[in-house]
Amino acid sequence: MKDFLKVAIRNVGRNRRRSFITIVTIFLGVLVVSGIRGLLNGFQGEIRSSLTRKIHGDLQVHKKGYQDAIDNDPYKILIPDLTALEKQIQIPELVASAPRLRVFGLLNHQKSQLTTPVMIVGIDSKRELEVCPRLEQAVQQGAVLDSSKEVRSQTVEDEELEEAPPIGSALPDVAPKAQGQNGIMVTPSMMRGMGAEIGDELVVLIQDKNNMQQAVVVHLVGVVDYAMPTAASKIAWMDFNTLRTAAGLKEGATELALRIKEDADVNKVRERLTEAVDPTLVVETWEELGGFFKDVMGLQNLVFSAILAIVFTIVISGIVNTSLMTVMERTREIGTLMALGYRRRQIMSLFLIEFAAIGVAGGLAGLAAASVVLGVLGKHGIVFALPGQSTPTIIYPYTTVFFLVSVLGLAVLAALLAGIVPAYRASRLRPVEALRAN
Amino acid sequence: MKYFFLLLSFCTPLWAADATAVVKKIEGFLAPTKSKFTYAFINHRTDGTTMDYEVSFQMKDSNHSHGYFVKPEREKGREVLRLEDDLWTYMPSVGKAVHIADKDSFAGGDFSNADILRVDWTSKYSVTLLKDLTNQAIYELKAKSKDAAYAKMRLWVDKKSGMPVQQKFYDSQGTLLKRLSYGEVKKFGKVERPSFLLMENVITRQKSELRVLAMESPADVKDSRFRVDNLGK
Repeated sequence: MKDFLKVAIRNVGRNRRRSFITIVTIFLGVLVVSGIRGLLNGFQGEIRSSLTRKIHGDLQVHKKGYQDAIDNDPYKILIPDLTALEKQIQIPELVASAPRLRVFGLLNHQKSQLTTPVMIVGIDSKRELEVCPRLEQAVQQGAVLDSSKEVRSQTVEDEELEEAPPIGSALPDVAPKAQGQNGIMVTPSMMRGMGAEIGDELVVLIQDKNNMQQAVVVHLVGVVDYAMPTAASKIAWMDFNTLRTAAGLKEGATELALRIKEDADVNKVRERLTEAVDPTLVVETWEELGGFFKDVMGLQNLVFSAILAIVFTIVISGIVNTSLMTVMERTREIGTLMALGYRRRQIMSLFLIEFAAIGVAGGLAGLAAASVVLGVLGKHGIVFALPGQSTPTIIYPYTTVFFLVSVLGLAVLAALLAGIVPAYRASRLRPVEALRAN
Repeated sequence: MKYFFLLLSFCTPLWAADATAVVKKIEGFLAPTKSKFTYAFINHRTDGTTMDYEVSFQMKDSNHSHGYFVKPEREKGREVLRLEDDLWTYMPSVGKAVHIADKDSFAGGDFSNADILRVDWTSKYSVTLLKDLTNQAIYELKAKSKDAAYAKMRLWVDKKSGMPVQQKFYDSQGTLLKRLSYGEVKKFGKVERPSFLLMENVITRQKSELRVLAMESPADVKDSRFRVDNLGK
């Protein structure tokens, strides 16, 4: 067998030109497939990272019916007891959790007197950054709002109780006693639309749980750009407790965002948490929350499978031709081997080993080149902007050992499939006719 | 001694009387039962533009009121109806009645629907005398039911005439939302009341004027007017 292998590999060297063409075909096929997969990995990794470390967290706990009610009546789907929930979800995979409160409201810019509808998200800045650390990178201007600087009470109840001024006299300031440090962050489009600048005074108007109008004076501290094509443009972030107080709530949140260990399986963690939490609550993964992107990634993987099939077919077609030529050119050699006592099975094996060796050589060369290219791109990143993005995205292509081994296996399989017919034909030759051939 | 107390009770000025009774009396002449009145609204926007409306109202009692837009031409035929705690608006362009909320803006201005169609503060707010000044008394009205339009209001009343002078509207945090000024007291038949109201939004700095053009009380008010299925007819 050792000699058999030696002969087969020597044959690869003997037919240098044909072997080279076959190896280059396989090399290019492997390089293209690995490169595309690496780019897709980078793109999908960026999507996942944005969704999990900037927007949603790895998982979220909601009250059942959250997706249907959040845009209409957020007070109907409040998680009633956050403290109890946080006790229930204490599992080793959990790294951090952050409560959020979402309510619809209006945002008024005092300087321009423009008022615009907005989804207001209440966050606890410290806990939010533990779950979504990339939120900090998403702040284009200013800084992340600081919950520790929030003014807890706003009141004008102690205003001067004097006789009413004549009609048309100057209006008092909004909440004159409340010129505190309550912060708000908005999206770039909202900032541009209102003509606002960092430090400007804004008034948040919401309907509280009793449907009464409430106002909170805030100052613009930051501009957040998620840099995601489908990110809502009318969104503002303010302190969780300030918003909750304004909403007339002492307890509760609309969601609890969770971060789990990097190596933890998000679906397994979800199963564990679903069993642990109250049955009125539901645990959703980042894939479910970012449904559009799940579909995008699914489509990308489907397209990649099609590309893989096309490249595989092209490579096989390319090799089949050279393999057939190899067999035809060596008919007399096959006859000699048969005359020396080689069996048909051995002739076929000899050719198949030869083609497999070519597949391994082309595959390894392609993988080495792909690893170098992806390694360089993965280190420096590729900057590009998708339609709808105001800031460019940097993607870091990468590949996995499992994928590389699979591609190598596919390269060998392609070479073997391309060589199986020529090898079979070689094994079916009659020695006398083969020796007579020119 | 008993004559002394009797005398004292007659001398008790309006501002010191039962706070709820004072506010109830104001409700009585601002929106008397079985009355008809015509209001002219001017909404001033911050960009300098204005929108003018003229609306004819009929009021059966504090729970039943109806408004019909007379001007401008584009809005003619629009109706608003209050039945107990429900508010409806009828849009002739689509021929449909739509449920609306107390807190929604009335005709796109700074008055809310409740400000115009729900002058029954004493049923939704508890009233206390907050401060007694030389010429005016300040009453505080705190919401006692969840469906009140504001968490808190303060009402400045002229002690001599019993007329409202100013009203301020707050949220539950104590943030001032709007200021309403009353002026130009006029007599409409037997009813004397402020005929000019200026509502100023402290947050948006926009303002709306309300002028009472006509008022008839008591008036012939038909029950059929206060039915949702009669809107548009």
